[in-house]
Amino acid sequence: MTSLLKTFTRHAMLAGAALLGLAAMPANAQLPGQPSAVLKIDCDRACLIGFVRQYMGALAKQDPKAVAIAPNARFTENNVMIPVGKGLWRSVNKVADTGLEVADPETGNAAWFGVVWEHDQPAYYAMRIHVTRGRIDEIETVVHRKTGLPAPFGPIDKVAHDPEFQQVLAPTERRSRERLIAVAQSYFNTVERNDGAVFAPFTEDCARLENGISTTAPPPGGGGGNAADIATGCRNQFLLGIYYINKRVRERRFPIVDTERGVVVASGFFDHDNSFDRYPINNGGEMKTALKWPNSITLLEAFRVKDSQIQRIEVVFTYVPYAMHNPWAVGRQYSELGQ
Amino acid sequence: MRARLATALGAILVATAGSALAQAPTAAPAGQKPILRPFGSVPLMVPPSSDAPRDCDDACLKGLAQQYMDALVKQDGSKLPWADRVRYAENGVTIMVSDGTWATATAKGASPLIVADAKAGKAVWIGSVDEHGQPGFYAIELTARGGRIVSVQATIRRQQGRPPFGDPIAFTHDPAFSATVAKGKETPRAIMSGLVQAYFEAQGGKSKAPAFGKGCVLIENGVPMTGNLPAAKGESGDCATSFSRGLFGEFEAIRRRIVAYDDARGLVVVSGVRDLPGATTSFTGSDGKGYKSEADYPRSFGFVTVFKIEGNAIARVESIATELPYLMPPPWQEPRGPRP
Repeated sequence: MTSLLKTFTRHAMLAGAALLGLAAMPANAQLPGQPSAVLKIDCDRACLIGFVRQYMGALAKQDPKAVAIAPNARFTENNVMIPVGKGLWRSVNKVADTGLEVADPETGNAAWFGVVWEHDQPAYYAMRIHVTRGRIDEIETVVHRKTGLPAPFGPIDKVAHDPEFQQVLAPTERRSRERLIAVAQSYFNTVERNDGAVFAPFTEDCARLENGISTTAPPPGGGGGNAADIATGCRNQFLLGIYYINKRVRERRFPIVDTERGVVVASGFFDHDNSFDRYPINNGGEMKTALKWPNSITLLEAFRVKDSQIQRIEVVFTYVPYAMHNPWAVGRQYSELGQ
Repeated sequence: MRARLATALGAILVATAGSALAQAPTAAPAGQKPILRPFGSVPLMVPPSSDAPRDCDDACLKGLAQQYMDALVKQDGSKLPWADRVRYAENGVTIMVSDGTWATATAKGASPLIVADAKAGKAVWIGSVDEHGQPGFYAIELTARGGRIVSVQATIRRQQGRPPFGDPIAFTHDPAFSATVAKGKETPRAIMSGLVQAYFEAQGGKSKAPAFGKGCVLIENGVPMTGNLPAAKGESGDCATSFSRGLFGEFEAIRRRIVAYDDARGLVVVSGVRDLPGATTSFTGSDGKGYKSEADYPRSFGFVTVFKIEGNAIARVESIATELPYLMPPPWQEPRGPRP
């Protein structure tokens, strides 16, 4: 065989081997993170909301067996993995009749925000569940109690979940999953070392509820004791840079997106290193930090986005040790960002 | 936006506490430049160690602990003898040195208790630190190999939160902790270990309480305790009473490990986490009476406890404890503690 023919033969053999390699790939390989090229939804929105209500009903009775929970289900309470049936399951004695409910059939996740009671003491509560093949296999919860640390704790008899979260948007007002997540990210980007630059788009009537209390509008007569006393509305507070204390918004995840209603539920941490205990704001004034030591807050936060603008926010958050990790933040799932 | 809210929300706390802190924004004094905004911590970067490792006896370990604390309050760890790989955690969370308390501590208490155990390669420093003018109870467990710091775990209890919280500045360690035992009369480690483990087993309701010396008191965060609650006015926090009445009945578990022994002074240092399920609002003591639970919701407490042993009895107990999320795991698995 001439050397040219040998070379050609060698290349042909290599190409053939490559073809054989391609043919040998698993037949069900798909996009990274996607088990199938066709998503079969076995639990639609009504089904997921049904699971949410069953879960909360079971919680109120302290009876995990009253809802279909997978035997290997993973459960976290304030970022600690604990067995189902422990933690709040043993202290709760009542849950509110209604809460803010969000569902995402594409990811199989759903959330509930509201009030629970432990030994008749109220606590603000948010949870995410994931449903697979008719059973709950993931439960992620944030519980905020009144502990004496400085945090909003709204009067529970006045808690009102804004009905805007449930309104189906006109098609022209809807945005894609990716765009909704980008808008929620822009909010966190604005919060992180807030210096007056506002990356997030807000509606004029944007309103935010934190642990049951409005932090964008003071109560009638004033004196809400929160940021609304300094500036009202979502955007104005950021323009002032009053949230500069937030060093990092970390382990951001977006496990729930409802494109019909424009709702995104996010999880993450706000880290306050408190390396300084006061800072100037953009009207020439100065803010003093309420805590003098490093701390973090863990949160589940729902955004309602209409026409690419944030219209409503509802969040439950609580203090955790500084820089604590969330066991659910393990990779790129749910558009998780680094740090 | 929560602790962001905390700034304004500080209004709630501030108003309640009657503090003079102005919570709403105030105008900077005329002519005064705005305070420069720091841009966050930079990781501590040091060159690899070049000198040969050295043995580190008790005096060397105590020196390392003191050097560490001096560096902490200067917020500069660059001159410390770090190992090539270091682990660092505060209140159970791993962070980088230069973050956390490294960015906030500016002063330390003058009279810490320092325990060194060359067999374990550990030094423990227990005292207080000041962060932006606010003192807190503070303990470190420092591990060294060949004279280099390989890990530090810090336990910090700040003022805000539930009782007990005494006065970190006014608090002084009982002089008994400093007293050395007559040579030849040291309590063997096996006995010290047995007493300490019996203490925790009894707290968990699993066995009889160990022997307590006369005048033994339980102190937590500078406050005398009766069981899991601050002692009532006029009560001393007597050890034996808490156990004879079974006042730890709400404890679910006490995860712990012995960190260090001081043979010359009869001290044992234990680090751990106690878990309170908050499942009931009361419990029955071993005296048959009902007692109110301290925990009305599930939570855990990370602690560092030092025991003074005299002869075959526990003579004093002092702890620093801080609230953690319920069942929070340790930052890493420490190797089994020093053998008795």
